[in-house]
Amino acid sequence: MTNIAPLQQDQKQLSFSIERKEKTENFHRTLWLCIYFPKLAVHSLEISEGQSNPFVVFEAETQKRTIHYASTAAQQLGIEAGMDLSQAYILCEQIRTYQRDQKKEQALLKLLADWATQFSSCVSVKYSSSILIEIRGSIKLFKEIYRLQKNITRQLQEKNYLSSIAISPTPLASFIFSKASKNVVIEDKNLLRAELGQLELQYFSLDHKSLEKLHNIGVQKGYELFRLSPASLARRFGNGFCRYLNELLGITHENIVSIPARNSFYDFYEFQKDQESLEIILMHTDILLKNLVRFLIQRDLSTRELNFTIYSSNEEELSIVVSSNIQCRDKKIWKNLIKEKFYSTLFKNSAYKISLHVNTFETHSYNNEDVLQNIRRKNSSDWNSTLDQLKARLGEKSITTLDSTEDYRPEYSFIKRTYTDKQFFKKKFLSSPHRPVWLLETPLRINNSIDNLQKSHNIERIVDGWWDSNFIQRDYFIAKSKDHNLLWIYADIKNQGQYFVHGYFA
Amino acid sequence: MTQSLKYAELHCISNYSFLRGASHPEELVQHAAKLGYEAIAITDECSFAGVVKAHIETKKYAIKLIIGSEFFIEDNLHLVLLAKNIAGYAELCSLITISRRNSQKGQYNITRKILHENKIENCYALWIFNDRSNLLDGVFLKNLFGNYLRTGICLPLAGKDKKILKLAKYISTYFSIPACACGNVHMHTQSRKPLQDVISAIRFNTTVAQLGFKRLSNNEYYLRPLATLNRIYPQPLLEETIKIAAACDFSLDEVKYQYPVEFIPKQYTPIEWLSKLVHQGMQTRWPQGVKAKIHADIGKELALIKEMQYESYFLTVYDIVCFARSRGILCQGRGSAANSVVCYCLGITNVNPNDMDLLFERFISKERNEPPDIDVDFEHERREEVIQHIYEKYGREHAALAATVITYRPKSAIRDVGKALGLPADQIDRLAKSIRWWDHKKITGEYLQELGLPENNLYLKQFLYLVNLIIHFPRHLSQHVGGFIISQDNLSRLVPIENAAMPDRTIIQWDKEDLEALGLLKIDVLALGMLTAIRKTLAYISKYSEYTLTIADIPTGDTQVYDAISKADTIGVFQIESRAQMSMLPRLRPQNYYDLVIQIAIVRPGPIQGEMVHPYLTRRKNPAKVTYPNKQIKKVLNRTLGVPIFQEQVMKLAIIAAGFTPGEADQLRRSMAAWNRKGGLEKFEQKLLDGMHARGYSEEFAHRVFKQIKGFGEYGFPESHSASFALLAYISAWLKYYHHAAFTCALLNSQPMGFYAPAQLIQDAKKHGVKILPVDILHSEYDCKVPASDTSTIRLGFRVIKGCSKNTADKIYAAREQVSFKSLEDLVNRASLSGSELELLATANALKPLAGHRRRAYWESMGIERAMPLFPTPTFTEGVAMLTKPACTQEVLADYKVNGFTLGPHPVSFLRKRLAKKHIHTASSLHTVPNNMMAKAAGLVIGRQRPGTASGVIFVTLEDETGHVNAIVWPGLVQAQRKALLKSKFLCISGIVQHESSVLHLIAHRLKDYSHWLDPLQTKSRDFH
Repeated sequence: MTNIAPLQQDQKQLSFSIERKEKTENFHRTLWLCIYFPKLAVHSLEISEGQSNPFVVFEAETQKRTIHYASTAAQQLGIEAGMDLSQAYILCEQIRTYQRDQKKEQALLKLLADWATQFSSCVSVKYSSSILIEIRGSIKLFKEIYRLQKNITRQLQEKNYLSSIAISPTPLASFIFSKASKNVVIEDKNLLRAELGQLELQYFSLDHKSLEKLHNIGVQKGYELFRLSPASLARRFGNGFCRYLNELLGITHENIVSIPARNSFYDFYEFQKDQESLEIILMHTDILLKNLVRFLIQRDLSTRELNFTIYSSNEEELSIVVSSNIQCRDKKIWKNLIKEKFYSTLFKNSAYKISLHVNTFETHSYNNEDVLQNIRRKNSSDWNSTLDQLKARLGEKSITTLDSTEDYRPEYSFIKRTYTDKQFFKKKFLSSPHRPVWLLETPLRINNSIDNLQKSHNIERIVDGWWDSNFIQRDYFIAKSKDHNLLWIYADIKNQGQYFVHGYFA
Repeated sequence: MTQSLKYAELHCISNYSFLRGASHPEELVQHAAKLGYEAIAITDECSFAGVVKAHIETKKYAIKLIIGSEFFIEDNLHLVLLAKNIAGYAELCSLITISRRNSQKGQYNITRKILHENKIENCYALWIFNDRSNLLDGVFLKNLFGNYLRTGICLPLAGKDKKILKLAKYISTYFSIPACACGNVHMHTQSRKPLQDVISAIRFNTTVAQLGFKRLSNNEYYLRPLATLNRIYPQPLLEETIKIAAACDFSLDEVKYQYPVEFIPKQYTPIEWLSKLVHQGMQTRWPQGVKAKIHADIGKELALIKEMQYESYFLTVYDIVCFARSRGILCQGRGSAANSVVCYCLGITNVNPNDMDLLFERFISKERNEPPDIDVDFEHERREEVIQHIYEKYGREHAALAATVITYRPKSAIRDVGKALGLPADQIDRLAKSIRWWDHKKITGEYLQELGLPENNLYLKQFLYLVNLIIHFPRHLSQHVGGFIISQDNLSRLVPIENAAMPDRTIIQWDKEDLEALGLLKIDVLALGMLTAIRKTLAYISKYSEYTLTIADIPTGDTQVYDAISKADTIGVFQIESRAQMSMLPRLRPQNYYDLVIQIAIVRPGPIQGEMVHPYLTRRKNPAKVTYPNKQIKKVLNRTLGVPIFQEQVMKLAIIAAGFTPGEADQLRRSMAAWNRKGGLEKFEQKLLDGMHARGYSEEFAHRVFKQIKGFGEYGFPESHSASFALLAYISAWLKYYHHAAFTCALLNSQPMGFYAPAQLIQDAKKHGVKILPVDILHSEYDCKVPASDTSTIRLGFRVIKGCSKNTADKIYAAREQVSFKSLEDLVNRASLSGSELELLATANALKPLAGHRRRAYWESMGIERAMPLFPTPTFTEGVAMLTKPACTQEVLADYKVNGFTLGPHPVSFLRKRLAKKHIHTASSLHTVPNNMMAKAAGLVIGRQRPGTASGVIFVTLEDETGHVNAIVWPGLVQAQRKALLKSKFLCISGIVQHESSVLHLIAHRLKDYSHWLDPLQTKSRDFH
């Protein structure tokens, strides 16, 4: 509600209606460009369409597998989208199949949406496999619609993305046109009805049930649908259906939420003279860190990754990434990590500038429980920092733990889990009471006679692993050597009963 | 050293412990005998399902079978019980029954309380002991089983054997429970371990790799050689097994049961009462008097029945048939029972001995020493009444259905094994779906090649091996279609009973073969759709006629009916409506009842493989030229022109020509049946040849007869069975000829049944001038009906609409009975129809009288305003919606979608111009193409058949607006164009036309799939073996 200065009653009404009219006119003056990517699934999986062998991308919903996209070569064999995957195999036994990955598609779409922000500040990914751009304002910059359209098309072609583009006064209509590969440009809302009327209903993004009902009454195209009275349609398909049509035709406003602007932090420090001392460089990282923390606090954000760049006169820039397993804006924690990382990095040359760039943020959680909560230890925060420090110094892949698996075969009864493994912090259990503490990675063949060993007669026969080419057939027993060591020995039945030492008991 | 070793395996499960045991009972018995075991106990988990098969197998070897069962009781208590004697066996049966009835199908529940309450005094109990067992269980079990308790010590070399032996010694000393060795055997050889892992994975619904410790750690759970056992077990433990085996002295041969003594009047004995009923029946059947031969036959049969003590069995079947008749349920005995005059007099069968040369020994013979097997067909819709009558009359303690063992078939084997091995789901799907219903029982490497999979891949080889191994493995028990076992005593002491899937149904754990093997009497209460259809037809006719028509009123020998049959106008007619039958009819041209008997029997693999068909047809053209070696042979083969077609003829030939006794002849018949699978005809060959030679028959004749016998195999028909069916075939043909509308109406109201879908039945009716009126909201009921005003018309009922329930129809009918409907609102409000019910009727075009064409009706029904208490009249008004009327093609497509057929033009008729441009014939114009000329035909695929005797040939039936085309596709073309053949809905076939006796076939050279021309059309093909 706009604040209105005290006016005469009629003047008040007039200004309100002017305001409202302006809003309405503003709405009518929006123009939406929709880019539809029919092969988004293919692009996201980085499949080369150039291959002559036919392929399909399929969706797996529970037990059913249906084809989402069929390559040109596949289509020539009669394979179509919507078909059952097993039918495709019948038509082409050698067809290559890829499972659709909607997460990758979303990620790719987001990237594309980011790219699209160069054309407008109002970009939306409301509809699947498409980007909506409000372009009324952009036309001034690009002088005219067709030029803008051409620009976008060219850039997409350079990126090798197949797309179809449509422009109309409503987002929904633009989406429908682009999905139907109708590359229309309609500026006047009054022309929408006529254009949409020619389209088949299958492009109208209606739910399956409504579509079936409309087909049952013989309505196949848009114009047949528009002929029916809105009140009758509302009665049969619900108010939501009518709302949809109103938004489609621009009678009512469609709510579009634009993608948020990206936050990013960038700061740098230029030294007065080239610095070789690591301590001094670190001192200045402190300053950058301080600014970053202030930035984060102001926006109520945290981050997990800091990107430092060291600039040298003679050499390439040196990038140093400092990361944390938990989202954090604690200066002390970051300082320690930075220190560890910098000390483990080899600096060959002096630096004249250092910059800090952070572009991934998360909303700061005050009750944030760190992922190391499953470890029941005292001073768990110390342990977490210790782990972080180890990780920073040695790298993530260097931190592993042992876990047991349910496998009779000794060499497969343990598994190493790295720090990044979700089960890293799972509770451990021992699989068998008769396993030695020290299991040799490679069993030691016994070339001499084993008569000198005192053998227990409690044999453990393990015959397992036929399904994964690691089949073992062994008789294990515990033996005591002359010097009273307890050995875990086996006779390899596959190998003519040859004896091996596999481990030592404590 | 090995010779002196003795051992009896006391704990062994077969694959009837479903998805646990990895060997068949026969394999276990065979292997145990081979290893020199003294005895083997089959102790499946809470089950006796596999013991009969083991029992039969032990007869071949010098090994004793001990009957037992294992149980997993609450709190980790594992017990095996072994029957010492028949009392122990009965106790175990009861215990298994209680445990099974206590739980849902396929599971059991046994608690310590149940053990305690059900005294087991005649069994040995093995407490299967491991290092985690609770020692206090020993006290509990000792109280229950006293001196018959043992600890069962299994030493599978799992690293704990020493500990277990130590504990066993402790228990023996302090609890006085001796120990004995046992193997906890899951497979007969170690090589079955992979299969055991696979079935475990299936059981736990995971993969083999992810089974973890649910897998057995090694392959020691098998039947070990005696030397190995001697090395592993202390001698006393092995000796104890022999002691126990010696003390268990029960055999399944001892299982005898008392057939229920029927409710017989006090003054009569069972045989006297039976004789009385038979003589009463005789008067009814032959009111003019009985021939001497019939009298003699009756006397002979009754004497044998008395001697074998089967009187009560016959009386029971008689009672069931009487019950059915009292309720107006049509029924008829079939099979070998139709050889019995007694059954005819009792009204169980309807084959008149005057019309046939019966062979009672085919039904019962002293030498065979097997119980009779009477199969009775009842109307399929009312069979449940008969079943409930049996349960009510005899009680659930005395009557139960036999089981059927559901085994793995190729498709299910591929799916389950593939999943267990972790194959990708779509690959499994692909492998399974490409198995056709005729594909071989063994999956070969070529099959993988066909699918483009590497045949030599080790992983896939493993997969193939396991799939082939698991085929025919039992998966679970299901109920037999209608085989009842009824006992005087408590049935659960004879054989364990468990719950079936259907509510209020119980089954015994033995199947039909088990019952036969043990000589237990079974009554088959079967369902036959045609009986339902006949009864309904008679009811409809009676309704619109002035008289009540019964089967007895139908005149026999109507030449017009036989003429129609000879022209193969037999769609819907019992037994002679299939493609193969219709091809034979114009050649054989049945003219009387016996011709029909032959017609039904001759189109079967037996006569075809025995090369009897052509000789018979040839002789039929010139019957005067048929010669016989002598009068005796003529007497046997005269009715079939010298060609043996029936099992009884083979038996009679053996008796007359080779001097077999009737019992021996029956054994020959049984060997014929099993010959293909098991061999065994050889011993009869020489006897037959020698016998014929001794009686002066030529070598050539003798060899020819034996060759025909071999060809019969298991597919030869008993004449009595064919005769029973011929009666129904004639009746249905008569009804079709004279009352086509009523007959078709009855067929439609008895679906599912028969060879053809409703679409074909309706097309056929229309061709015969029957008018078919569509489903109409103002006139239709649930069932189709023949209006009294026009008996050559059928008004389709709501039941033909897919998804329309009887409840919906009843609501409509009830409301309409008061006042007819004026509008859609009136319909909705008075019939209380839901939105979905209304929409269904609209799409089926049933609302036309109230709302116009189906689109408008659908539109209106979507917007119906129901009357509310406060607003009885509609408050919403709207204008007329602009909806286009559907075009003819759209109507037809919509009809197919909702009903599976159309009353409009045939879908192919819309494409006729397009087809004509490609020079494609109609079905009718194909008859104008000269013999051996090329031609093309196209139509909807309504049937595919691959008979077992046809060596890979597939018969395809196409339908267009003028009729049907029968096409033959040879194996080479099947392989080359498999996709088009199997997947097409609308197929074009180019090939050579072959005419023979007005029967036309198109021998396919090329197939083209035109399904996309009719894409939205939803049709279904009926595919058969």
